[in-house]
Amino acid sequence: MKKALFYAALAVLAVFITAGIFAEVLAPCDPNAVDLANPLAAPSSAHWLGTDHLGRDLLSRLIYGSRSSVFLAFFATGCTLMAGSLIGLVSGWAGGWLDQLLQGVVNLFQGIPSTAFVAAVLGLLGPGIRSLLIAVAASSWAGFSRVVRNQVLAVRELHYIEGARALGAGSFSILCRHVLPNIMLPLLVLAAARVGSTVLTVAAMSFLGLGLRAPAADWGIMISDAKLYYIKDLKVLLAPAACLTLFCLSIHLIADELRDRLDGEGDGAHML
Amino acid sequence: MGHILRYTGKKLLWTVPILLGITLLAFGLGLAARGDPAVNRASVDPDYVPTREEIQALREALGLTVPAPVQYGRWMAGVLRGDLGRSLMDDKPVLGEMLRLLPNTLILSGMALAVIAAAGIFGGVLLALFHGRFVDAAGRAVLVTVMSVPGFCLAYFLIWLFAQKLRVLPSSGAEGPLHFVLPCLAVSAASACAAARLLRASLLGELGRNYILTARAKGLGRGRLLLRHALRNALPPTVTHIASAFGGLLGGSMITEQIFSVPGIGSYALAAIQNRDYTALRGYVLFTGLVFVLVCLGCDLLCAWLNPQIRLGE
Amino acid sequence: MNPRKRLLGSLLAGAVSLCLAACGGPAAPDTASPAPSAPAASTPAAHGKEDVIVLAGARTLAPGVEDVYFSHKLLGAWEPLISADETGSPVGVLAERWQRNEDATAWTFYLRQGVRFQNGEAFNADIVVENFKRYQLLENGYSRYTSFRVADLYPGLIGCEKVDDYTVTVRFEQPVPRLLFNMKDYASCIFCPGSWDPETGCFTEQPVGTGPYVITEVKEDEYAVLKAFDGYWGEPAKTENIRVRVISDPQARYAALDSEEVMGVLDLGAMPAALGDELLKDSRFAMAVHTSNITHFMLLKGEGTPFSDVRLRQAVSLAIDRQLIVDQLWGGYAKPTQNLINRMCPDWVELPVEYDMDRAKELAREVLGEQRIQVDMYTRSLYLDRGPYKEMMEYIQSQLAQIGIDATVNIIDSSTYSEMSENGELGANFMTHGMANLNAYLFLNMYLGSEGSYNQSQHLAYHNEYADGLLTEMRGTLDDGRFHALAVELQEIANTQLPVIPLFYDTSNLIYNREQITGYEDFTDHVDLSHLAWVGGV
Repeated sequence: MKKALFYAALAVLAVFITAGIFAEVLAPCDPNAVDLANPLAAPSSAHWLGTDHLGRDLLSRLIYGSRSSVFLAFFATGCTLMAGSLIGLVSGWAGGWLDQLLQGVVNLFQGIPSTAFVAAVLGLLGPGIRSLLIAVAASSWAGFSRVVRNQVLAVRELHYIEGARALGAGSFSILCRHVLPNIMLPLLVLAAARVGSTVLTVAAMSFLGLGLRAPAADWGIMISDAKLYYIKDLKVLLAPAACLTLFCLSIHLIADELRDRLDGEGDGAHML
Repeated sequence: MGHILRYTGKKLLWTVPILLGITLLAFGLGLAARGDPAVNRASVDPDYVPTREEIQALREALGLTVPAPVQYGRWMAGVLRGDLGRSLMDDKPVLGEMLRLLPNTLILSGMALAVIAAAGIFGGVLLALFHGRFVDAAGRAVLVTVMSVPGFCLAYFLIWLFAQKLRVLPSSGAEGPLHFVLPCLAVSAASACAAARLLRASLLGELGRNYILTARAKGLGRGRLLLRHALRNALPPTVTHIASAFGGLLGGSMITEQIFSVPGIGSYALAAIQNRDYTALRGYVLFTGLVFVLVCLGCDLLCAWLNPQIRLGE
Repeated sequence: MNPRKRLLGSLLAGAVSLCLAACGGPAAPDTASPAPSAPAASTPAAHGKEDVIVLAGARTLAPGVEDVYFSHKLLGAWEPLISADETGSPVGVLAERWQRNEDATAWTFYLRQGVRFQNGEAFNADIVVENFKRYQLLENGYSRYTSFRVADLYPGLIGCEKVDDYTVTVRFEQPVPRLLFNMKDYASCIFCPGSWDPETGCFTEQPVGTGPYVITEVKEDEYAVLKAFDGYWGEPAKTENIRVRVISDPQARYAALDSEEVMGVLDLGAMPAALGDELLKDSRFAMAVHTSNITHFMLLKGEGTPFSDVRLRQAVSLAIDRQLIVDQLWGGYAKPTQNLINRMCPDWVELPVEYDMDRAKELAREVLGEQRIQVDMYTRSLYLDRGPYKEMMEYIQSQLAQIGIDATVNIIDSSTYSEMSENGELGANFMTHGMANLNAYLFLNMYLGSEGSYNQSQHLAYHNEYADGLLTEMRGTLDDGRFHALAVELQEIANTQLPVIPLFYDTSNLIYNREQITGYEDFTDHVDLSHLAWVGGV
């Protein structure tokens, strides 16, 4: 049962990713082709899911939307993961005053309410992908860095590292050989959870008018655009919201499963 | 006792670098931003086009022409005297405005804290009790789904259900305690679900431990065990989660405040961002930094009380 | 009983009691009874003097002492000397009659007698003199609605002097033939002296006006409470108590109307057309539609761009099906236009509006050849609250693509906007411009004049010496007939040359619960809340 859910979640994720990659092939229409005379049309053979408030094909927008939303979430999380891990590695490995200083910065960034921070970065630097990446990375790198640092500290204490050192292995090779494999799984779990929350953050920012450029087909933008029209036709809200929820749901399920495997190995799941 | 005091003192000392860092960050962000508060203020009336001289005069009057470090220094000096400055947009004192808006935010986050804690603990215990059964599986599915729905969709759904269809709660406003029920549900739903999941996980972890197995062997029932022994030990991670959610709520929730027309700290910050009202923004940032330190401290002390094995300061 | 069940029971009991505590209180008013037979509406006699009409708007209508008017005119707390009637012609409120000297440098106003302020003080010439002293201090009076710039409203003002108890004369250094247009509403607001700082003219306490309603309580960003003023000089207010709430989210305003928490919405963008349509399907609700002085525009940067060529501007204009925008996005109430001047202006003339994609393509090809050009289109986020701006821009984006113009749609906040517009970075700008002053010269000059403020600030780079000549003559003329003729000619020039591209005239569409209140129909730009009444009376 649990396994089945996990594989179902993986399948959903695969569908979204495939849709994103092959959007040009899969989408039946141009997602931005406006047909103002035909708004909120019911599903038909020309438009399988009907049209939105500007007469654009809803299905095509959903497909292109998965490119924008899913990829942005993965990309932003990837950037955050890299930045956070790097700082955590440095902090844990170097120790001393540098560690103290970096921990101070981590504390600082964890203290900023994340929505407000993201809104401030987007508001002040102007909406767009660049600001969005900066905002997401800056608001969530601290968590990654903390996990990595703790793991590095833990690994450093292990005897075989001492051995490797005695054998004259350099810091870098020790990091690559012994530390990275150890922190892969916990980082993956954390990153999976982050992908879900990033999608929701981007949607929230679109709601505040701080998201991406129109007419970019993006689930978050589609949801906030549907605000005034869903009372007339629920599908314009339901379709993107369902995609977003389904995506987050599958990410959560995958993260859960990964975490259970991590617990099975019996280390450090509680820090998540 | 002395130990706790020493720890508290140390944590409070931490406030200084955190506040310094956080305001510097806000200041730096302001320097990188597009837009000029003076231009903004001069163009409050959208039908009027201000002249360059007017804008320059305003810039000087607002103290925006002096070098950035001096601006920061002046502002800091004001803060040390208890003066957070005046809004660049309408000259209202920042502290006064924040105090005016604070009650709404406090009520909302206080109520939300109660809901998150009650629902989170109740849900977590319930799911742990029914571990491996249908209730557990169904409950977890509901929790994850609620966590995956965008917050503003949930808010609109609540308005539709409780205000329009059932007509049992007001749709918006902040006039009485009932007005806060829907916003409170909207801000607390996702955090409460996350808390329940977390608690369930740590309860199950706790139940697998040796002392519990021993107690079970002695014939104690699962339910009593859960409440008597496991819960207390399993709570700290959940408490930490709830505290961080509470800290975030005290910083105001921009979206919920906007949807439910509850003027609070979050809308103040959003307006400050949009207007490039840097004094207001710095005041807000100072406030949230302070709240963060205090909430963290409270949370650490609470965890230490719950589980004396946790040593403070580590 | 086994311990697990007991535990579960107590937890459940706790949850249920929490829910009850949360929902129990307000269940009394009406439990989901279908609305048409709501008890309040079917028994109108039930309305006592104490009952309160609750309305909602998107922004606050009583911003407070920082604002030079303290409250929006709509609330009826204060009154002006001069207002305008349905056709845009000046009409007296606290001034009954007026006359000017030959060269329009001195204007004499005969004041209404028997008017009292809400604190009992009498209104007379001394009061007006004091208020003019205040105006002179307001070089750049801050307001959320319309700023008070004495140099623009009263150019060359020397002062206001008392002739007798109910007559004053206002003198100017230069002729001001269209003074009455400038003085409309906000610009001639009258307050009882004593509430402002004599050095700055700013209010130090809540000011007292002569209007039909007294503002008794203001909770900033939440609500304002009004009570009828029983000593009002004119027709007394039809309702004793009104409460105007601020509900910032359109969806929440919709819900509040539907659940009968509020009985009507008012002010700009009170109800988006898409939601209004839904409400009107319900027989409880009706819509009062009034013309407004607001026109929606698209401004194309001409400075150093192909849009300096009039043919390309015409192509853009011809490519936009304004009627389709109005019908599909604005609920069909607005009126398409290509005319710069608003239809509320007494000098307005009706001019043709064209949509012809084939000619648009032709004209664009003449200018661009086979080349495609890029344009970044912008609008301020504040307009999203006033109408479907983003939707409209997305439609225009798709239309422009057909004539070889690849446009982007960008929503920016006011701060970014101000900076970008100063630097001339806005390829195209979508905005509304309300004709707050119905003096046709001012508006025509802003866009058509080579030195016009919008022509310059928006980098339109429109230059037409013939039009400049007409504008100069228009500014100086004391002959109303000639003024009108010039206004018509300039409107025709603007209609073909399109220094900016007007899209349509807006209307204010206010939705109210007709089973509960009446009087929304006659409440316009010029009339305040005093016509509002309960159905069936008190």
